[in-house]
Amino acid sequence: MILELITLFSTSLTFFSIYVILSLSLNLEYGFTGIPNFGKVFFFSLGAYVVGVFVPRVIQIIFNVSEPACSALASTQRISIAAQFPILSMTIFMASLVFSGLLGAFMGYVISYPSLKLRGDYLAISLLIIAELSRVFVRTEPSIVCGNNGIGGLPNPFIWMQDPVLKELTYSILSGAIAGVFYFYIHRLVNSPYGRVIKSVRDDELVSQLLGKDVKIFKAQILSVSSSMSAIAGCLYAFFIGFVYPDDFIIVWTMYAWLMMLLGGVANNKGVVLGSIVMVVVDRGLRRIPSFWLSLPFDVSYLRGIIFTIILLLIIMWRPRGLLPEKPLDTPARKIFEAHLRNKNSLKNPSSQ
Amino acid sequence: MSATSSRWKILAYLVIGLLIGIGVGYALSLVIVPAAPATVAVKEYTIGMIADLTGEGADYGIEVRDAGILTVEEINNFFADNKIPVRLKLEVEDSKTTVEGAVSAAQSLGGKGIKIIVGHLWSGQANGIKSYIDSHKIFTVSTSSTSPMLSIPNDYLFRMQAPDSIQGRVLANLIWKLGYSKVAVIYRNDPYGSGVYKYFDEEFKRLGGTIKSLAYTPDLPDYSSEVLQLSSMVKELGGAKTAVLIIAFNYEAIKMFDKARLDPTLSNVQWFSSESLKGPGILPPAGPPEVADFLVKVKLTGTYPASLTETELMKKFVEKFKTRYGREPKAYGAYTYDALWIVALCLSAAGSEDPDTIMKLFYNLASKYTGATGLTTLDVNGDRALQDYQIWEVKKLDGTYDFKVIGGWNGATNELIISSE
Amino acid sequence: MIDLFQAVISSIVIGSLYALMAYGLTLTLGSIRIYNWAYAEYVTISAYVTALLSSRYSVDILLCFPVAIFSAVTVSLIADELVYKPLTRKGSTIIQVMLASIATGLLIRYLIYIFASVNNVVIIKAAYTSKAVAKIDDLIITDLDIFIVGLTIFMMLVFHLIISKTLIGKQIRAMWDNFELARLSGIKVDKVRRFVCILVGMPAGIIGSLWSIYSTITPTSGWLLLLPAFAAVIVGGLVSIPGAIIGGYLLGFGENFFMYIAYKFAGVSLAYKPLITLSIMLLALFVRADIIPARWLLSILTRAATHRGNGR
Repeated sequence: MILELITLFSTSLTFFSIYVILSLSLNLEYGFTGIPNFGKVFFFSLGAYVVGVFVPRVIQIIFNVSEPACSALASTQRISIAAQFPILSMTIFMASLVFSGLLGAFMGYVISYPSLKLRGDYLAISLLIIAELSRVFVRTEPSIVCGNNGIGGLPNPFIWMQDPVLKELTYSILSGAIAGVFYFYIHRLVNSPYGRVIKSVRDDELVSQLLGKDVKIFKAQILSVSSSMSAIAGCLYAFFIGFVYPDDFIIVWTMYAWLMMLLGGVANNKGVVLGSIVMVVVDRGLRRIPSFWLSLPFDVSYLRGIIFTIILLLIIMWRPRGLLPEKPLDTPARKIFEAHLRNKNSLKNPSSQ
Repeated sequence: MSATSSRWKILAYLVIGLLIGIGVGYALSLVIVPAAPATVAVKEYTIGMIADLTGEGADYGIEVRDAGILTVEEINNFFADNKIPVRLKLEVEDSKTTVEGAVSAAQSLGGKGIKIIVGHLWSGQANGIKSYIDSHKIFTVSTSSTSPMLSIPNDYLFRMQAPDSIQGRVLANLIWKLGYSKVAVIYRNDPYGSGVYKYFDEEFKRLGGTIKSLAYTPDLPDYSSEVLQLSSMVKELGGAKTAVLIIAFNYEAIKMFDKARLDPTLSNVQWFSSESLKGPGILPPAGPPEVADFLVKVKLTGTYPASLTETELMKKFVEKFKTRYGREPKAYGAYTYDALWIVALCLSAAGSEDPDTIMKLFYNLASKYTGATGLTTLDVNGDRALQDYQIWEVKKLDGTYDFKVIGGWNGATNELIISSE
Repeated sequence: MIDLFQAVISSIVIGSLYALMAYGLTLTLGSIRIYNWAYAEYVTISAYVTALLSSRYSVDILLCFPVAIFSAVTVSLIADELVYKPLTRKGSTIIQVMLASIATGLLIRYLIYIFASVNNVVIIKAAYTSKAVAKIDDLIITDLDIFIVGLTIFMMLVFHLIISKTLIGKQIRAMWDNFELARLSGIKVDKVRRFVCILVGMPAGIIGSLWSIYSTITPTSGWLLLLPAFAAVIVGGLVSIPGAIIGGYLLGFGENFFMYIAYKFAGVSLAYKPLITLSIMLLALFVRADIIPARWLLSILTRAATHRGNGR
């Protein structure tokens, strides 16, 4: 029983971390900067593909594994190799994180060029198409992740641990830590004069330009950062599942990210975390309903899809800005100013000391 | 500042409420499971089952689940009648016809402490869950997943069906023996299709034949251009010794047949198929009679993994299934039946569910067990070693269309027998 | 050589279906300013209606069409009343409405999935099989081919007549050009809106019914047609109906004729087919948005072809 609880906890924590990173990045793009990213799954998949392309080949080159990388025999061998060389698997993991981040940043930068010229809905559709294009391309081209077969044998960084439950728990804590770091980073990034500028870009791009802000650069930076985050989330996902295949990266991931952001609160990072919590709870919770609880003639999985779409619709129709509202920016200047105001007030009214 | 603090309160209540909700739900789920009847130290083992209950593969998944429920009941009754203190419980998870679904299902079952899984996984899914079941030491028996890529010794995945490396070779020998030396192949661009094709290609070329092939993308709305290309491939190969081989799922095949039947070139060659087309969905009442006529005209002939002699157990299983569910089982129910029975016997012999022990016992027992699907001997990779194949042909008899068995492939002797009809 | 003509035939047939679907999407986009991703599901519903009625209940195939059209129109109206109209009233942004339409589409699709799996009709086909009516050498033209092309072109003409010649058509055009001005000049926007929903529901019903005869239906059938149809809309510049029609045929040819030629003369595998659709979409979007030059050429073409230039 304890075992069950621990496994439930570690799986939920890992997914929660991945969702949080994804939705924080979307919040940064759309909530704060007004860029509607309907192709989020594309950047997410980049991180996973980095893992799928490099990790198997690196291991096979170092250890002279002769089987073709796509075969299941090779993936079994890769796992057993990684289990014997803990330092190797952890180094590969860290290197993958770095490369995913870099590739994501680069792609985000590249995407910023068309995103400047395209109006809101055009941009949204373009990004959606790019996501679908990449999926179809990777699925057809066998040299990336073995076409639609996908590639396995991606060793978890903690695979050398004897106890698999401990391995998952450690991984989930690591993912949670990374999510926490990102949260802190985004919080500081946004609650600053920089955050003020990107909000002004969102609210009125023309005025922002008139005031001398180079919108190009800001959008490019934001897209780089958020795409980098999405790719890192994808990297974490790939190591968790241990298997990468293109048909996993469908529009549903983008929809989930939007759902979490809209549910929790647009332009409110705490809200986004709340949205992710709800998502993970509903998702994992619905999986555990035994079918004799509700005697449905069809399967619970459809119910999950229906619940999510209804929630999404209800949010869009009644609380399009989400549960938690957007807060004024908590910059250092503001803190000083408010403290100053408080001091002034207390000086005026000595009785309220 | 009170507005903000009340918002914080709401947030706090929400989060606490959610956490309490999870806790309550989980506690309830443990309580509501009915307790086993209090007899003398009866051990109940939970066997996990992964099947596609939703999505395009739902037909097969639901059949496997239904067969599983039926089999577990039969096993429990048998053990109860014979005072054997072992009972089985089936815990089913949906893999949603996706690889990710199978992986989450495996993780979910593993999280519940389940050590043995019987599942209907197609090759992509089996590949996906491999690292999980190997690292968590969960003994998994799959009733499908015939991709030759998965033939690996010393892992925790066994397969009740022979890998398609055998089916590919059987198809090659079948087509060659019937007098064709040139084949135009259209196959599904996925692990299943490319698996069968790879071994067919090797064997047919070894026998001396010529091949032209076309891999089609699954799940497209329209296949006119693929059928057109197939037609021109047949024309290029030319001559009387040319045949067509289709390796596809039935809902795509029907689209292609509907186009092909109007093509004069394609209507004048013989067509062959893998086992995926034998079943409902192609012939009437599911499919149109014009397509069925076309299939009769081109003498669609194919392979199907099945024991050459219908075992008694198979007859009884089919009867039971029909009585209970009001429909005939398709292919995979019988494999599920055999797998669960062997697992049950291993559990009662071992007295524990240690996966390594059960795996060894399973391997040994399987070679002595003749189930509904015949002798279940496994090879060193834990895959079905002796696989017979039926050879069937679409024929019209007394106004109805059916898949008529016209011969077979003997897995033990590697012999092809075609009855002279 | 004859096989190239066969490819042309299938290009025209598929192109007609894409063109009609793009027509409906463009009309919705232009007059009500909504990207209706749920349009795919209207098509799927009609396809299922026709398939079920003709195969399970042996209804004559031509009678199925009106029933399917009625279903599509009903769903179109309901979706609009429940989701799109309230959102437009609230002043939602176009992105929010797009999100809502994707969600609505998914919701309807899940419902169709449940219905299909409960009744064991996840895969189904209408009970009508086409017969060849013309044979030139190896080239075959079936009655279904002629019916599809004829019906779709007829519908497009009918719509063109409605939009250009009737009073309500004029009101739709007014809304298209300038929504606020139309409202201020006394046009009953809600009434026209409802009419547009009915009007675009009809092509959805027709396409669904035709598709159920032409091919097998699964719950994702509509979605699979939506992507090429949207590509056609984008090629047409998102606001041009003639452009959308041209786009539909362009895509039909791209997927069939062009891919076949690519196979015959360059050995390109047909597995790359979906890439064509998506690349055309992306290319069209980028040209439109001035990212790729030659925009001026396209804008001249579209300006000449929009309703603005069409005898107004």
